[in-house]
Parts: sequence; C-alpha cells; structure tokens
Amino acid sequence: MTDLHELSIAEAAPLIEARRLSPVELTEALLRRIEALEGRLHCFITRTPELALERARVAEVEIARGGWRGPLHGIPIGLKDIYDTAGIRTTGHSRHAEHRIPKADAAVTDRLAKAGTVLLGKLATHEFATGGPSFDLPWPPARNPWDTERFTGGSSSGSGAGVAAGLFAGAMGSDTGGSIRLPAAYCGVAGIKPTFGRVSRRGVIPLAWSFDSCGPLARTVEDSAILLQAIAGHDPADPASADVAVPDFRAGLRGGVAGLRIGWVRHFYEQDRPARPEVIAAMEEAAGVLRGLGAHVEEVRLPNLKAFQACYRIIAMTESFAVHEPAMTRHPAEFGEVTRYRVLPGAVLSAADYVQAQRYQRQLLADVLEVLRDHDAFITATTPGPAPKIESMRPEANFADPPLTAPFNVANCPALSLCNGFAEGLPLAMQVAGRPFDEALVLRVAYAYEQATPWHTRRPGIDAGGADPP
Amino acid sequence: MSEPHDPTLRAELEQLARLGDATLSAQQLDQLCEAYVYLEAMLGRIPRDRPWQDEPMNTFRFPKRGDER
Amino acid sequence: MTAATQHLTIAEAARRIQARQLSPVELTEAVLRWIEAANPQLDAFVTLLAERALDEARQAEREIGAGRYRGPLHGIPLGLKDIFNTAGVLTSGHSRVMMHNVPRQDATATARLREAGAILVGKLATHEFAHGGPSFDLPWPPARNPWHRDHFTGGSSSGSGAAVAAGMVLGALGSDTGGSIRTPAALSGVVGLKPTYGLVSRHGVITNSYTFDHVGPLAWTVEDAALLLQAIAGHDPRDPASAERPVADYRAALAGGIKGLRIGVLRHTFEQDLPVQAEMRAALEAALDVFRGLGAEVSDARMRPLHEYYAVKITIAEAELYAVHEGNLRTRVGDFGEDFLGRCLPACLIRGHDYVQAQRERRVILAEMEALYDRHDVLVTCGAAGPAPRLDAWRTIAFWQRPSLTTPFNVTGGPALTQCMGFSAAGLPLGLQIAGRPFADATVLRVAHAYEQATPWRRKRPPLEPGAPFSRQLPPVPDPATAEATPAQRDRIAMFVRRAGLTLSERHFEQLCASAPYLEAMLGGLRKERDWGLEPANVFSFPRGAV
Repeated sequence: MTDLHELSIAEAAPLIEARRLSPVELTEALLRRIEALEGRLHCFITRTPELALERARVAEVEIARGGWRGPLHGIPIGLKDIYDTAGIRTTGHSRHAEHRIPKADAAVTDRLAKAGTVLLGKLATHEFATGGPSFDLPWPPARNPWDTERFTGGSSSGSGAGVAAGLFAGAMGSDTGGSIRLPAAYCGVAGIKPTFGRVSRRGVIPLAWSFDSCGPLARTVEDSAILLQAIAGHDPADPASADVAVPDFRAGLRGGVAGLRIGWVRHFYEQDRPARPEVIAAMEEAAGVLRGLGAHVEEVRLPNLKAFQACYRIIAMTESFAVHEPAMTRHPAEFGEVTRYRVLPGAVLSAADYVQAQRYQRQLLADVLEVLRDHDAFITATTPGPAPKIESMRPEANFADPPLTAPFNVANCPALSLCNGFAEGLPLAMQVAGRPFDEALVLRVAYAYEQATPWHTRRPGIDAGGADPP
Repeated sequence: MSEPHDPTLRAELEQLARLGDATLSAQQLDQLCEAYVYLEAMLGRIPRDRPWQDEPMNTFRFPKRGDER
Repeated sequence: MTAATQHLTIAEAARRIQARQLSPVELTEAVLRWIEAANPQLDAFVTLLAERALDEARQAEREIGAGRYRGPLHGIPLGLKDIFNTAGVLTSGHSRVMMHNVPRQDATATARLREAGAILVGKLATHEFAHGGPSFDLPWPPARNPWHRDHFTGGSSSGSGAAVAAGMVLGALGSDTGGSIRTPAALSGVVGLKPTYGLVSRHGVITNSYTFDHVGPLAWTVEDAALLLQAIAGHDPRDPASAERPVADYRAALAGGIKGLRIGVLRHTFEQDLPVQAEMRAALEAALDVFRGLGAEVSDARMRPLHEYYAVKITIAEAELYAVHEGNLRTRVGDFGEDFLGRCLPACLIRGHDYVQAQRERRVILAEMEALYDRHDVLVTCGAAGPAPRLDAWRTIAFWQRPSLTTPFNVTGGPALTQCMGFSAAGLPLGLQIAGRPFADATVLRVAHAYEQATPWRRKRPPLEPGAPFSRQLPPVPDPATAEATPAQRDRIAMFVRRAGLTLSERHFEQLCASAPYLEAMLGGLRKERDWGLEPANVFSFPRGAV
C-alpha cells in the first residue's frame, strides 16, 4: 500500500468500506504526519487528536458492524477556523475570538460529522477570513508546502496547505472573493466554490453575506465532488440557502467534455490583469487539452475585471465593516493590522455607494448569464502567477489588483480552481466556472482536464525536510 | 506610501473613520489614506446614473412557512 | 348632474354593466362630466385622458354587447397615480425631472387593469416621486382634500385618495412605501390597502424604495378594494421581489364575519409613541366596540415603539431613493422640489454600514412579529395621528421629527388597510388601520368589510360644490427649518455633501442641517452589537430563468 497520507478520499473509502483500512490506522498516520510537519506549515489553530482518534474508533466499530455510511466514513478532515464546532474553540484566527467556544456546530460541521468524517482540527485562515497574511495575530499564517517561504493564498490558508502537504485529504474553506480558489491555486490542489446558496452558511463566521460561500478543498476533483455531496442541500436556517435539488456530483464526473461549449475568458489575465507568460502558456495548453478531449473552446468576453472588482469590493467592504463595526471601533487593538487595513475603509463608503454597487451587481450578473446561455462553462486563470514570497506581500496589493476570482463571486456562480502547470516549481492554476447550480458540469470539465494531465500527481517537496519558518 | 496625502482628504477620512470611541493612530490613518486611493478608483467605476428600473441585486422575500395556506 | 352615477361603487356599477342596465360609455361620460366640474377645486389629475377613456368605454361596451364580459372591472373608470407607467401617456412622477417622460410600455399593474377591461380616466397627482409632502414648487399643484379643500389629502397617493373620495374615479391604484396608500385613504375617507410585499408587481412603477415599495388599491368600499386587488395580485417574473404564491379569492373571503377573530389593539402606538388627537382616539375606541359587537375578541397587543420601525425604514428607504436619483441630484438638483430634497438629501449622511445594520435589524423585527401573528389574527391602530391638517401647515422637518403609524407595516411587509371610522367635528374623515400576517390580505379585508358593513360612514360623500367661488392660490413654499447645528457640525455635513458630489443652495443646505440631527440619532440607534449570523433581510437570489 502507498503511504496512507497519499490516499485520496476516493481511494481510501473502498478500502475502509472493505475493512482493509482502519480509520484509526489512517487517522494515526495523519496525526503523525501533522506532528512531523506542522512546525513548518502552521496549518492548525487547534488540533483535536484525541477527538479524532475517538471518532475514528467509533467509525471503525460502526463499519465493522456493517454500518458504513458512505465515502466519507472514517475519513480525516480539517475545518477552516471559521466553522463553528460545538465545544471546540472557533477563533476566526483572531485575538478578538481567541477563547470563543461555540455551543452548536455549523451546518457543514454537522453534515460532515453525520457523514462519518474524523475532525483533525481547526485550520489557519486570515483573520476573520479577510486580513492576511498577518504576523501580529496569536497564531502565525500557514506556509506553502511547495516552498515555506511562499504564501499559501488565502483566506482558506491552512486548508490549502494541509491538503497539499497530505495532512488530510480534504478540508473545508470558504470563498467570498476567492478564498477557496486562491489557496487551492497557490498550493496546487482543487478547490470549489459552489453556487451561492448551495451550501448552508449557518454557523460560519461571515465576511460578507452577499458573497460568502462554503466549499471543500481536496487534492482531486473526485474528492471535491465527494465532499460537496455531503455538504450541499437546502437549510432553512440559512436565509440565502436555495431550495434546489442536489444531483449526484460523482455520478456525472466521467461524462467527458466532448461537444461542450467552453468560453475562454482570456482578457481577464491577458489584458485586465496581465499574468506572467507561464500562466498564459499554461492556459493555452489547457485550452488545447480540452479541445483535444472534444470540447469547443472559444474566446468570450465578460465585463472588465476591474468592473467586477469594484462591485465586489464595495459590497464586501461595506458588509464586512458592518460585521465588525462595533468591535473594531471599541477594541481596535484586538484586530491585526492587515485586518484593520482591509476592513476600516468600509467606514467611508456611503449607503448610495452600496446600493449602486448592488444595482451594478445585477447588471454584471446578467452579463455573465448572457454569455452562459451559449456556453456551458468558462475557463480562465486563477492567479496571475505562482505564490509570491510571504514576506513580500503588502496589504494594498489586495486593493490595487483586481482578483481573477471575484467575477464568479459577483455572479455567485460555481467556480473551481485546479492545477494546470508549474512555474519555478510552484503550481499554477485554472478556474472552471459554470451556470448557477451546475456544479456537476464544472466538476465534469475539471475532472476531464485533471485526468488528461499529470499535474494532480505531483507532490510538494515538504517531506524532503527544510528549516522551520522563523 | 511615502507621498503625502491631500490634507483635506486626510481630515475627511479621519472624520469618517471615527465611529464610537476609537481614534486612529497616525499610522492607521496613513494606511487608510493609502487604501482610499484604490477605493476611490473603484468608486469611480460604479455607475451612478442608471434607469430607476435597475434593482439592487439583493431583494426582500418572505421565507416560505410550513403552515401556509 | 346625476351624482348617483359616478358615486356608484365598482361592485354596483359592475352588476349593472354586466346586466346591461348601465353602459360603460354612459358611466364614463358621467365621470368625465363630474371631473370637469369638480377637479378644478381638487387638482387630483396630472393628466386627464377624456378622449381615450371614451374610446376605451366604447370598446368595453362593444365587447360586453358581444357577450365578452371580462369581469367586475370591465367598463369601470379608474385612475392611476402618476408613477405607474402607461404606454404612450405621460408618466411624470409629479416631478419637473420627468415632466416629459412618456413610457413605451405599461406597468404590470396598468396592463392587468387593462386586461380586466378597466377604463383609464387619467393619471393622478402624487407627491414628487411618491415621496415628499404637499409641494407648492412643482409643475402641478398638490391635490386638495375633497372634504375640505384647504386641507391636505395625505400622500403620496394624493390624487388617488382625492379622486376616489370625490367620485371622480370609482377606484385607483396607489403605492405605499411608508404609508402612501393608507395615509391618503385615512385623510380622504376612503379604503386603501397596502397588500403584502411581493403580492402585487412593482414592475413599471417608478421606484421610491426597492425594499419597501408596495402597489395597491384605493376605493370607496372594502369590496371594491378587494376587486381591484384581485385584478393586480399575482406573480410577475419581471419584478424580482414578486412572490410565487397562490392568489386568494378576495371578494369571496369578505363573507363570514369576524366572530371569534382575535383583534390585537396596538394601544401604545397611538397612546404613547405618537399620541393621537382626542377625537381620533374616541373614534378608535368606538371602532373597538363595533368589533366586540361583531363577536371579535379584542385585546391589547404590543410591538416595538414606532420610532424603531421608522429608523429602519428611513435608513433603508432614503438611501435607496437617493441612489435612484443620484445622477440627477448631482447634475440638476434645482429641478426637484424643496420638500422632496428635504427628505432625500440627508441620505448623503447615511453610510453603507448604516444601511446594512438597518437591514439586519429588519430581520430581527420580522422574527419578532411571528409571536404577534400567533396571538392575533389582525392588529389595529389609527390610520393617522388626526384628521387632515391644512395644506399650509406642512413642514418638511416634521418628516424627520416624528414617526408614523403606517410605517411599521412597510417594515413587516404584511398587509395593512386603512378605512374611514368616523369624522372629526370639522367634518374631516378619521382613519382606522388594520394590519395582518404576510399573505393574510384576505383576513384583513374581511375584518375591514365587517366593520364597514356595521357602520354608517360609507353613506356620506364629500360636500363638493362645483362652481362655488374658490381660490386656487397655493400657500408659499415654507422656509427651511432653523438649523441649530454648530459650525463644526455644519462643516461635517458640508463634507458629506461634497463627498456625495452635490452642489446645494443655501436653502437646501439649511434644511439638510436641520434634518441631520434627527437622522443621525436614528443611525446611532442602529449601531449596536449583533450576532454574526444575523444577516440583512434582503438576500441574493438568482433572477428567475437563470436556474
């Protein structure tokens, strides 16, 4: 058997079901790996090894009695530390909530527990999923397993880094402007932001209510589908939750892309935010791969990336300031510098700015949907280059450059990021986005591409050793 | 950033950011001025004059109730 | 002059039209003659469509003659507040800003009335863009109260209230963002229903506030209001807030009485929060006796103090109104009337997070209402603080100084109806307000109908004397309220004005400075610690057809 930490969920599940692999054995292997690598990766805010072993033992007993619940039974996972966990500290990676212990589980926490997963712990993020990477918080930022000097992407940083490093096969992140897809990109894994309303946000610390989406990060597209299956579905307790039927995401994965019409959004990364040549080359190659698989790939135009950025930021900043307003103005010292930098400008926005941005959002969404009438999915780059050095990052970059991910938050469509090549030994990534509630097709396109390319089999060199970050 | 910020703007932003008891340190105010340059550019991209028919994205709807007639 | 003809109810006129005892042409001609006689004293119309109305009446007559009777609105002369789009007909919003605006398409409500066979007699006066109080600086004068022409009609569906009360139309549509159907109904002595939010399409109706705009009927009787609601209620994919719910048979629901029905009296609203005039209170107590006599269980009920609903509504609605007009406010602010600006301009002080906090507070309010709805089938209070004030008594600052009795039900979004519950010593109508659970519009109508049947108020029409000497002289535009702002406060307000890209005259700025403290107090009250999970009440959803 390969190293247990190498197993995907799809590989481990049948072994567990067949009782050829014990959840306890798998959990112990991952706990050992975490023990060995956490000093260099800083993926965790809170580790829950005893609880994990206990849950693994329960899973083992249940499965032994013939009570296998499905492909997540006995699978160790991690949760971004904005998902409430009853009795387990949930901090939002903030001093402000350093000792906060929720009484109830988030909806997703609960669904994953019911699916039989084993919780390894709570994962590093940016403070309240917004300001990072930061060095003035009670916990350090996570490090990129491909190069610990590099940024993981955020804000689902621990989720991306931990999945890439094999600390767990899957983790939950959240995505308001790219926070699942960006760490997925920089860490070379798959991350899907489902359609807004597809997954309940109950019990997840908000960043901006109009865009917050919960979704998984995993090493493979198939594992993403398995995780999404467990968490998708209507929840009346989340006001934005959509009462839309949930298909079998895994069943359609192997349908291929022959005949699909894929809109290639080149201007995002060639003109609106010019990417590095390696990114452009990787996208050319990816388009070629999809064409080779029988898809019709043709260039399409969406509104300028800066239009999406303006709309997204004005709404998101207004809402995130509203989330943190009283605390931030009363106890500013409890927030990190980068967080204040990102959140405080929300104070200067007028209600008219917010309402006009919301009206603009309706227009931009209509523009996106118009192109989706003739196209089944979009492809574009996820980032303009590989992960930057963590020390080189400046907070204003967050405002200066329009993120390639935000258009699909403004449109609230499903969007997945997966690895489509390497530059300087660091992963590059492509987004596949689709129609509202058509995650199945997004996953299908991504799966076809993934299976036709070698990228998902590459692993970071973290095992080779190296010094702990300062 | 090293370039000095427009003092009027700086004073305005200081007023706007003053909510409750908190006042900003000079450094925090510098950062706010710095961020505002980008914010202003974004604000400039939002259309202000559009037909009244254009609704905001978020709308109000009553949740469905189980016992509804 | 056959006063009787135009004073028919819709229900009675419809019965006669269906039985071919009354011709739509004959009815329309009578109505037009009456308008010609009475409107010069009332200014209820922005646009009179005499020729078109007669054409429509002749067509209705032909259809009915050919056996194609469409239903109870067929051949009935109606009016529309001048914010409802009418294809090919001026739709001005009673504003200089849109005084040449001729839409190409009908609003959904307009189209539904046409489909029902109604005859459009004209477009009715409103306040500027359905906001503002009576204004004396607009291209058209404000409507006057048919019960006393020096008095206000209530607004903003002013022409609708006046025209229905005077019998110049048999029914009308209005809109209600903070009370704009119910207030003119109360002050003009007619029935006005603000239906549940989402029940009637807002498509093609000039926006006041996206979040709080409701379209609904004004009519002489509750039954007529039910007939009008029937025609306009129902899902419209072109209105993003339109509800996808079954529509009841509102007329059928009128029957059955109110025995055993639980009526909650929101006593604190008219005794403490906004103490109403003595004769108003006496009329309400008498109305409660009527309810008891009809077998209803009457008990006291309590909601939040009125000013809390008001703060939520003002913060959200003024911000939205401001956004709607932002372009014109920057480039041609002088084309708006002063009263409109006195309400709208202070919105430049509202910040994005204030708007979001108000939206979150609304979600709490909506949840609180559930307990009230469980205890009471309907809630009652006064429809206004007193009878109609004089036109020259209106001051813009009053909008900022005190809450209203109608606004809570824009915030709850449930149905609310106002009807006549008697008259003041001076002969002006007094209004009763009945509110209900969202989508329980039929229950509200049933209670109102029972009350109406048990009381004599529908027997009295306004004492109009066409041809009597009458001065059309308007009061002067009131001077701005005196602002007591310190120089520092003025500087701060000036900063917001500058940042908003506005250039204001001294009068506009003074009015803004006078209003600012009231608005800031409302905003301050909304700034408080809330659970993270408490979301704004307005939420994202994909447009229909996208999923």
